[in-house]
Amino acid sequence: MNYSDLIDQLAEATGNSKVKTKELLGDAISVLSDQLSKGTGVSIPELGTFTVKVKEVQKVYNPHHDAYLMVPPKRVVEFSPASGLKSELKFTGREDE
Amino acid sequence: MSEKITFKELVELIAKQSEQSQNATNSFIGELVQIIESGLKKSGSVSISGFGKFELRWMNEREGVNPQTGEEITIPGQNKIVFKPYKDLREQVNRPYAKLKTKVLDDTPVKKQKKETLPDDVQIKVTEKPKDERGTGKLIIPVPKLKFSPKKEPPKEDRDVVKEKEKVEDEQEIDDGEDMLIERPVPVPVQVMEPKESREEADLLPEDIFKEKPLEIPTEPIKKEEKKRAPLKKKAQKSSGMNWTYAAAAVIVAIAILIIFLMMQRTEVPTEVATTQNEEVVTPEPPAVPDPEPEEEVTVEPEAVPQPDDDPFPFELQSHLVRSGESHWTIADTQMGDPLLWPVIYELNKEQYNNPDFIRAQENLTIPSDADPDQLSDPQLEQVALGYLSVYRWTAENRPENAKYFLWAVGVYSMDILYSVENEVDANDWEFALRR
Repeated sequence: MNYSDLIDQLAEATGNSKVKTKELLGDAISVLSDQLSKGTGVSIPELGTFTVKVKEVQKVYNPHHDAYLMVPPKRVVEFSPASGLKSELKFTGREDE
Repeated sequence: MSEKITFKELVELIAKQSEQSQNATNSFIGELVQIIESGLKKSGSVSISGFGKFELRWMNEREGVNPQTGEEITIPGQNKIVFKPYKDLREQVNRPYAKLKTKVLDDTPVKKQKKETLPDDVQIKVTEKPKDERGTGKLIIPVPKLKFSPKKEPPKEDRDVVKEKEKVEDEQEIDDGEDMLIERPVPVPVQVMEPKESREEADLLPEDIFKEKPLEIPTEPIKKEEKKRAPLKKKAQKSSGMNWTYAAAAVIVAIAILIIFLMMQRTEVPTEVATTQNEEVVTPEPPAVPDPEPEEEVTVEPEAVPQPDDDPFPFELQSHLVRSGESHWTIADTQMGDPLLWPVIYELNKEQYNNPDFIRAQENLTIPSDADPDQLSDPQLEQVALGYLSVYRWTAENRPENAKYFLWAVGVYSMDILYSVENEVDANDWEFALRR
């Protein structure tokens, strides 16, 4: 499902216009991103938790250039799904197996 | 880092941002979650522009151990919900660390070796480059560094602003720059009054001058001077940035007009003489020399001298003895400051060894010595692009499946060069190279 499908369905479900929906979603996303870029974790019920984790310095080997590289520390977003969502989708698309 | 905000606080923030009631926001997010869930159910992925993408990923059945009992169990295949943040979010979150860059580790102390092998004047420059100071030797923690982004290079004025910032941040660099400037051969200025002023300016901006050195046309000091000069000359100097001969002609004409004008004035108003004396010194100069402006000469020459005009190659060169364990990549990183510039070295030495993947120890390579990966000039960027093009050609013959990546890299450094080879390259590679 791409972004415009999402907007379509969200507009239908909330009864707002698509333009309005897009604005609202944009606001929500920008608040989320702001919090995450401050390093603050955010949890959304029934969806999951977004957290920010610092990945430490790593030493990796590049076999092509025969060189060791030092990968700098990095801040990354991690998402852990809510357990309800996880069990709901456990076998989606794989019912036959 | 470990702090979290509650959902209630989040709803409050979003409600404030979107000027909606908290109830409305709450139900909006509820709907959003519902739709994400149903979207995942139906199509297996939900993408939210500017944020990220939720995806279902099937994990196959695998063997595992129950951590409590130590008993071996089979974990059945199941879906995993993954969230892939998009670039915007990744960059925003990683902003505090964005300046850190991957470093190539080199176990041998390169700096020491450099001192032994390089001629004196080259050595001074190389060792004084701040990035080399940290780029060499054993580095355990990478040091912040500006990202190299050839496509997003700001216009020159902006670059200068950035450089000024750097200068403020790092006093050490200024000192180094000063030393370097003094040791560099400064031509004897034509005018006696001017050099002091220009030296002061040079002291103010040693970094600028150092960084702009590889540029064909030094622009910054001229611009600075312009502000102090008469508007008539300003015009001439601007054009000098584009073409010396035009500038010379324009300035000669301008000065001639000025002289005539002054002669006429002087007969009427004798007090004018004092104010125009500065200009009069200029008059004997123009007919003979291609650099017509004495003040221009003073500020420009220190940059022009180390870069010979008749040499079309945009980098200064030095020779480098390959030691075992070194690669193009490591040499480019330690000597040029950016491993991605390695094709330049290949381009310079490809007659010696054809295959870009291997270089032999104890071989003498010609390598650039003065690259500043954050401030490459256009000719330098083109040279890098040509290097990638050579690598592409070799790879296309020997390992065609990998060649497209090098063609793509050509476009990163110079689209002109990429387009100039449109008809020679494989159609699939070409298509790939245009993806950006």
